[in-house]
Amino acid sequence: MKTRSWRNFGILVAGSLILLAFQSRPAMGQLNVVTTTPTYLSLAKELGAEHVQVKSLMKGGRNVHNILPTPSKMLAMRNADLFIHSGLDLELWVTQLLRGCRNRRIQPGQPANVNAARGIKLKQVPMQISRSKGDLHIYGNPHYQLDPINVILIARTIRDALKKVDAANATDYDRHYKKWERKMKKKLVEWLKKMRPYKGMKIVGYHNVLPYFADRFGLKVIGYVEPKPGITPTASHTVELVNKMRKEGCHVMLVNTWANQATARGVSQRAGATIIAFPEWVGGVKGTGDCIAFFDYQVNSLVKAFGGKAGAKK
Amino acid sequence: MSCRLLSIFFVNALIVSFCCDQPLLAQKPRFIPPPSKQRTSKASNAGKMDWINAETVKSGDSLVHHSGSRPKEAALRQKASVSELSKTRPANRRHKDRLTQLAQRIEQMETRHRREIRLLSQQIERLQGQLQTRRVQPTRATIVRERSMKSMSGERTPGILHVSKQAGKKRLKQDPARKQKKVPRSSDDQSTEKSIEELLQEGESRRAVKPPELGAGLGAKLSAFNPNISLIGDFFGVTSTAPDGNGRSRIPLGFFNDGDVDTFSFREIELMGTAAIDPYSDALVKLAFNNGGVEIEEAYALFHDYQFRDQLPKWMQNVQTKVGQFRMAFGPMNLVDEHDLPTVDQPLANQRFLGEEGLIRAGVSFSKILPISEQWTSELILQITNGEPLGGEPGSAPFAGIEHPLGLLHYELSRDYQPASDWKSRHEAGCEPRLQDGRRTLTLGSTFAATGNRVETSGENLYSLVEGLNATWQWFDPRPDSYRQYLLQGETFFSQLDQANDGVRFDAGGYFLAQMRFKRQWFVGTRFDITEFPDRDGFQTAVTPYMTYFMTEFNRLRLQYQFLHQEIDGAGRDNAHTVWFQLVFAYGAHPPEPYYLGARF
Repeated sequence: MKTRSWRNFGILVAGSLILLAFQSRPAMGQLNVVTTTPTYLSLAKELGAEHVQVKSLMKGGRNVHNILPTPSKMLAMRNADLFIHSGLDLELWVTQLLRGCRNRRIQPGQPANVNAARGIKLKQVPMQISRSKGDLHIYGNPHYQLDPINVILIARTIRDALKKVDAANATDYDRHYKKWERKMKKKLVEWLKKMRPYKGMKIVGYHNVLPYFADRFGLKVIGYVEPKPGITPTASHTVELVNKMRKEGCHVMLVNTWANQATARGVSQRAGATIIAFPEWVGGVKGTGDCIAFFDYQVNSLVKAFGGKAGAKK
Repeated sequence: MSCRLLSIFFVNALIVSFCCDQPLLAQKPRFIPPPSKQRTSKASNAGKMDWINAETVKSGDSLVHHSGSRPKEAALRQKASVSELSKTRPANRRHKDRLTQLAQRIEQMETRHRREIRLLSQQIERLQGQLQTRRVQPTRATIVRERSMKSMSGERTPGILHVSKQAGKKRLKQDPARKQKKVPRSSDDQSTEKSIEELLQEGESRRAVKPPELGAGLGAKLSAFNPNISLIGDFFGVTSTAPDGNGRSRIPLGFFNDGDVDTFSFREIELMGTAAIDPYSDALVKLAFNNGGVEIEEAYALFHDYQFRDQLPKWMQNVQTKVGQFRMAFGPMNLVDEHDLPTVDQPLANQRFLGEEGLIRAGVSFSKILPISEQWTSELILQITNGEPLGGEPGSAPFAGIEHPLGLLHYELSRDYQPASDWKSRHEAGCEPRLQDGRRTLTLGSTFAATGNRVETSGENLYSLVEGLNATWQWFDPRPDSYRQYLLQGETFFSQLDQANDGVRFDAGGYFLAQMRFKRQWFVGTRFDITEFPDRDGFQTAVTPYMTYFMTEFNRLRLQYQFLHQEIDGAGRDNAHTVWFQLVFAYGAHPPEPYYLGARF
């Protein structure tokens, strides 16, 4: 009996050690960065390079409004040296995680708590706050990450935060940022040039995430499949939308990766439109592993969808 | 043995072929790959996309793609084979339909493919155009490689004696003629870069401002979604010659503090919260705090729209649904909170037939507005609720249903009369407004309510039916500087209660109220009550004159006198004189105003 119990104990210890060995821990000197979304993960990786180990709390194709605050996420945040989030009222699940992770360094107001909304000019700020308007965002539309200019501003915020938390490697962060910014600006010119012939073209979305993207690339959003943000589409609303699309000659639908594809397909079939799977975050669709690839995909998909229908249709 | 096996196999093949409607030896589709010379670079194929320009034909159920070189002949061949097949096979309607469907599908695919090919061609042309305008600059590695190849082949490059890696690189650096020329950017690109820099500078200036933070700041802002909260205090002082409520008098006990007929007290403090739940529904919660504790006066969700509205039959689409605990639609007085009544107390008939605090139950209510004509509208309300009040209180007759729900049907007609067309000219001439000059509303309603009462000893079900009629007439002075208003209102109640001894008890009651607003802040009126008791023999009559002074719309004072005469079998005759003083104040979000104010203060 004694031998057996010692044996069992030995197995337990060995198993725990094996499990511990497989847990990834940052190497000595590396910052442990936790982000809410893969877009910030990608930026942190670009700017931090060998000095950071980054983890995202959600995957790219998920709906950022509906992430479950689980103990594993709290655990990930417990050891974080830097926490990057969208701010505003987009990720309400973060409040619970911050309370539960017991990591003082990343609490609101601390230097290691990075609000990516710094410097962003918000669109669609509501005049009236009421649930009768649906799932309203009270500060304005929080999907600002879909504008490449805002992504550059977010990268600056992350760079400044990295320099503050890890001053020893500040020059490296600056260097990485400059290199990335050059690449990003060059690509931005290219994207704007590609989209110039399609300025004024009309599109339809599923959820209200398009204002920043559409304004940057000169597109006009004529409606959304959801009658109000977060409200399930009704039959009468989809009929109205289809009629509007036909009337205004809108042939492109940008559908979020987490949306009800059956409803979107129904609308697109009746309106004769092309559906583009529209990820809101890096990694939401295969081949969008970083910010540049992400916008490359968005722009190329739109160019392909618009095809030869260049010019604004009125 | 082998012959037998072969024959079995052959028979099986025949059977399978018959069932699947396939020829025994089906024609295999031939795939003809595109010609190899047409698979060169895209540039040379520009405009000659024959190998994608597929003609699709059908053979039975299979699709065959032929190269573009002999499309028509192949198509004709295949079509001929199809027509032959269809002729030789026995007439099969289903097979022909399938063929037709396939043909249609193929046509659609052809159209789509042609469009795609056209788009691709245009894209290629565009790219070719861009390629020609761009000058391709050799990289340094290319130059070094070319030089080394030339030197190996014996070619002499002027200015260079020998080629070595370092020397080559050094000369490339020193030779100004070999400097790589930068690709000149177009003016469009330059202006785009400039605007990008300007936007980034704007963003940089905004980064100095702290953005909204999670935590306390977010919590404070999210409080914008909190309900509209208002608090209403109903304070009174009363003195009366009426005896206490110890079986002899039915003066409402709520006005007396433990039997003391001279008292000041709060009837209730009402906390009310209203908010939109979502685009389809609103919520209302009223909590009443009084000497007995706190109780839920009303709490319900009101659905004014439905997500599944389109799936409902048309007649149901405009039905409004209320779910929760609410004041039932038995006449206009029962719908009004006690602090909003035109008088301090409820009419005596309402107290006897609907309960001292009114008829409040938990259940479901459906209402629908039915337009009748341009002038008249009507509303139909159906309510199904518990027979008993919440909290297990027995309730009072006639609505003391045990185990039986209470059903109520209310129908109301209303009309708005607009002022006479010439009233303005007469007003300018200084004439007093006539009756027909004012804005008038007339409301006529009827209510039918039924519930049951089960006798525990005998298990017998005794039913209670109560019918009511109501009429309200209001007149508003049309002159904008005048607040003169008249209100005439009356209700009657008729009850039929099954008795345990197989009898039916009939009782009736009612009131009539006349009120005048002679100044903006002043109301005077009188109420006449006469009512029987639904659960005993006897009657009460009362005359209740009163005066109300609205200091502001949130603060009102009232003085009321009541002369009550009652005769109750077994209790004799009683007269009582009661004087009330009442103060009602409201603060918080703007609470709803009493109906008799006419939304005008």
